[in-house]
Amino acid sequence: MELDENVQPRVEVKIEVDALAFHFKTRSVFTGLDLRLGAGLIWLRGRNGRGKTTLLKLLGGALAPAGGSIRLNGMDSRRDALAYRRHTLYCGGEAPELDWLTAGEWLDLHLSLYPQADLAALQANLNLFHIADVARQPVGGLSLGQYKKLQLSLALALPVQLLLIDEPFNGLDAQAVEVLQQDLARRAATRTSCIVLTSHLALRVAPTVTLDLDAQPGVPL
Amino acid sequence: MHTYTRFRIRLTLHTLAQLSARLRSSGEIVVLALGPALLGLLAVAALPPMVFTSYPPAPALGLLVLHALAMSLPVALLRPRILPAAVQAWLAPLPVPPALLLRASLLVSGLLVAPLALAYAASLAIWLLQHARPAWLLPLRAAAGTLLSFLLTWACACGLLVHGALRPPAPPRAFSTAATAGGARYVPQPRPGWWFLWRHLFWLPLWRQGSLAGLRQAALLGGTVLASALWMAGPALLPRPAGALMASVLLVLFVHAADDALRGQLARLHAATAGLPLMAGTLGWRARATLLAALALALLALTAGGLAAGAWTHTAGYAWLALAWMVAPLLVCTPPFTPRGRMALVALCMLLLCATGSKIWN
Repeated sequence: MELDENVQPRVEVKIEVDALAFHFKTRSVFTGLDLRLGAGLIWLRGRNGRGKTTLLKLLGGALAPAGGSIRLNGMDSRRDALAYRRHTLYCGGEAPELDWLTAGEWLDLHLSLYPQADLAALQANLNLFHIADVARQPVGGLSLGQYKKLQLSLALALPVQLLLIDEPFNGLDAQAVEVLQQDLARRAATRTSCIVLTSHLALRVAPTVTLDLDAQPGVPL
Repeated sequence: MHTYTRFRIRLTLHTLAQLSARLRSSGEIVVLALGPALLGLLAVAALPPMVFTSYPPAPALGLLVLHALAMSLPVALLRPRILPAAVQAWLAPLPVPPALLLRASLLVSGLLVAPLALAYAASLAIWLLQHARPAWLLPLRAAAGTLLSFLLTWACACGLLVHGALRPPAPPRAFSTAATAGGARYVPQPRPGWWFLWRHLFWLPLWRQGSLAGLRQAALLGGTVLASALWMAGPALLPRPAGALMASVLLVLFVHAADDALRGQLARLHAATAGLPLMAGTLGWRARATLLAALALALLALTAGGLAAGAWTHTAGYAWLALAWMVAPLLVCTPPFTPRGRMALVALCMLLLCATGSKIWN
């Protein structure tokens, strides 16, 4: 694979998960999970119900651990919550959040929370995914694929160190899958951030690390 | 009983249980404040159909039909709760035979109009069993007219439910006509600062997705301003204490509605913004401070109006003004405790404001 000429230098991204515990009311999802992740593309695998989405939300700061800790370059997800969240983004969920906004307002809101976002890249992503003209449509009225593309357009334009993408290929058309695969391949090669993604489909991009939750200590059967 | 019918009945009982749980929290306060009025309402529940039956047949029938339609309005208002959009979406395409649908809807609407039947029965008994009946009251016709009105209400409620069960939920509507035009390319317009965030997270949801919160607050604010203006102006037709009563009640209701909407939105945002770089606690306090600032503007206008009308010249005036300024921080900053405690606080604010306000020009 060819890299861009002005390829960015590899950056140090260190995610430390120690003795992570998380429980739903009816069952335990993690009971002492330890992980060490770095820059690159991490493919998170596992059977349904093993906690892939829960782990992504915990890593993104959207859920609080019941025990243990998650640190991104030394920032604790609970103690330094605001700073931590500025460097992470959880991109997932098929039901739109903030569904009273239009797609344009939804993007503007996120851009105001991540001021370092690359606006040109966002515009380019919207064009590549063919959704540059949905700005005035309510987020709640977008199709599954359109909403997924909107999320991905934003996620791929944010300068976050830890990007968590839940089932990115669900609902995407063939052209959008191709666009996403190319972008992920470029990022996996440049290793400027850590991207953790879940997918039940085999990736066409070679992941840096494959993490199988079915075989991970600290994940109850 | 068919599974479909059992499901519809269970859904209705669940909705009624939810409603009664909400009413139970404020039941004592409502009974304490409005007990005699509620008893009076029960006594006259069947009065309209009874009166209509004393008219000639043609207008009597027309009025009875209109009354029955009006009495089925609560069912129309309850329908979105009895048949929520999510249930409606998978209920509508089910291959339910028309007879089964009608039977289930009849039973469900029967459950909903049963309290009305009880109220009519009590009211009929009160009017027909009294010693000195009014001359216009013909027992047989009155009872038949009330029964007819009730049956029409039941039929109308049943029709509403059948229609609701057959109709697929409406797709999400665009927020404006411009949205439907499409084709508008996205131009990033992010702005730093609190106002941008507040507009997107707290202001826009008041007016979109069929929310009535914005309209309700606007109506209450308008009502408060109008009632206050009338109270200060003191027209001959409106006694000052009545003006004070209206202004006080509407002011508290306005503050309560604004605070209620804010609390609801904060709860909604708790999950929606969990992963975003926003701190829920800070967001909540800033939103409350913004609400208090907006309420302070309204109170400033009220204070200025009262000053011009000479309302704040005696102890009662000072007390009312101080209480009015305290209501907003009290309701906005007090933790919710329980719904019953909240209702008690709102009722206490109204009571104190009404009591002091009615003394200002006394």
